[in-house]
Amino acid sequence: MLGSPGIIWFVLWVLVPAYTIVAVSMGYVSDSMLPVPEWNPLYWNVETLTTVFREMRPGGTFSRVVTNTVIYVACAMALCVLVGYPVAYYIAKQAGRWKALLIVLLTIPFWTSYLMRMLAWIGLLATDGYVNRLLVGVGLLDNPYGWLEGHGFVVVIALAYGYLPYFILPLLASLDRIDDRLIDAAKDLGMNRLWTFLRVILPLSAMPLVTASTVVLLPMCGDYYTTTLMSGSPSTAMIGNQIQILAQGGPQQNVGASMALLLQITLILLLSFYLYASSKTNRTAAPV
Amino acid sequence: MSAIGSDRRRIRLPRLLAVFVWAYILWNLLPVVCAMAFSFNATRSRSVWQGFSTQWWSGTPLSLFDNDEYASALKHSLELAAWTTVLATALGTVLALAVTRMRGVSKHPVNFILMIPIVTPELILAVGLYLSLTFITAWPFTLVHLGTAAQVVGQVTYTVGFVVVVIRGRLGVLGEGLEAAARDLGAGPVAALVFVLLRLLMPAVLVGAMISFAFSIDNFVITEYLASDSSTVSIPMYLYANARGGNTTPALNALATILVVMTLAVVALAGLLYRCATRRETGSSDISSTVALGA
Repeated sequence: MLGSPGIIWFVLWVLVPAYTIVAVSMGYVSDSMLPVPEWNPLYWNVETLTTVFREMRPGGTFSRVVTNTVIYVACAMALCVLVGYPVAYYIAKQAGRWKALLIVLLTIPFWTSYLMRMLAWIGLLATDGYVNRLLVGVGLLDNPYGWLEGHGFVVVIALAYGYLPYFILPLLASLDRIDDRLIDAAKDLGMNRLWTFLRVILPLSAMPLVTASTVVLLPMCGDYYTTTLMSGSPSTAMIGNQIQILAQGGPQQNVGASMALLLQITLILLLSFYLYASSKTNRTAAPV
Repeated sequence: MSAIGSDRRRIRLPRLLAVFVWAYILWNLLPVVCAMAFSFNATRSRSVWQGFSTQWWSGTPLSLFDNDEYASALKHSLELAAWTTVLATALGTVLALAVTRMRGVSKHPVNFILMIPIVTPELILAVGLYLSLTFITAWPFTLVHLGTAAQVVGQVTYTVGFVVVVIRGRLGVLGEGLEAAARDLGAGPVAALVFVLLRLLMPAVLVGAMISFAFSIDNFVITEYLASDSSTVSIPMYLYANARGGNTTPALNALATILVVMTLAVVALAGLLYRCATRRETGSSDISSTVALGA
């Protein structure tokens, strides 16, 4: 069979690892304080999972990383929409002869190493860096500001900066497909610009916006390097930092695996909601 | 595509929007250009410009081309990228062909499995692979040790899905009639597949290979999680470990510059090749949709 090597590969390196996370999370801790995975579902021990779940709620040990993750990801996604939608819309529908050039310019950061893009800001935001020099120079700041010393808002801006290229390109591709005749028709029927935008363009952009948001939501939820690089402080740690620390060896691997499992379940629920919404839109939308 | 730019009757939003878009592009590109420029700084500083020199590129024991640590990271990244490109392209091509031929119920579970790595945060994929490689004591898990082998397995798993998406897109454009036509004209099943379909697929296979290369060389999370010792440090891992270090010199910026230039060169080449190869066809996708697929 043509497909068998690929399918065997995916079973071995995707399905088995996924099951291993579950087995470690539902496993036990041996007398020598090492985690032991439980492969047999009949003997699964859900104690770790329920404890971790309890500790992730407000007041628990892990509530900090959960709150940070939710707030940072929500704010960064809002920034993505506020900045990315106008950019994508302009390039798809208004850019005229500049369109090809603008698409190339958007593609460059898409293929530029994420770590390089963070590294670039580390230089600029350093205490003696050019951002501080500029702000002190024009009188907005009296003294250089420690941008990289544990500020949540810097992490949010860095996340938005980092993921915007992955948000804009899929959005641009779908906005490009909106039929221009619909916009012309709205004009011919006497709608002004604002109404055309609100009643025609915006509803047609809703699903592409949800798709693009999903594209960046998933990796953002597992991100730990952005906050490490741009803040480095435990007070701005995200859930990814906690999973990364716990799962890589040590007696608390079952706790790390449980957190990874809970995160993945949450993301699967969000993704199913998205798939449900998109299939519903496809069914109700008139064929163009 | 072409009808859009020429239409002049479109409502024009204020100039403000154009200014906003260009400001966004500058905000996006300028910091990276600055970071590249700092690799030519005359002093150790990575944040204040103090004159031009090439000392961080070559000439001193601390420069990029004269330092074993940088050389080892560069070599390891290229080694991983070579393995990943070959394996992911081969596996992805075969899988794409197989999935398009599948009929009926078997198609859905296969599609579902293929999508898992694309919609899962890399960290979770990495944790799963790490745990299964350290806990499972059965073949073939015992064959793959943390380090280069595990890193290649992880990167291929992460990349194959994207290769399949690119090649299936091309298969969709080619349609299903070509192979049947070749068979009608007397070609055997293998000949029809290899001489007709695979030949026409070559541009997409090349694009798939280059995407795998770019993904591999930029990959950080999986590569770091499945590393073993200092000999398996890749360029992105090295950047991450040293980005905020007080002793770090502009040679790090030089290393990052190499990484960026390599990736962009490969992707640009892929785009050009694809354009040339599919120029004469109608409905060929432009670079933006090729790239958007990668997202």
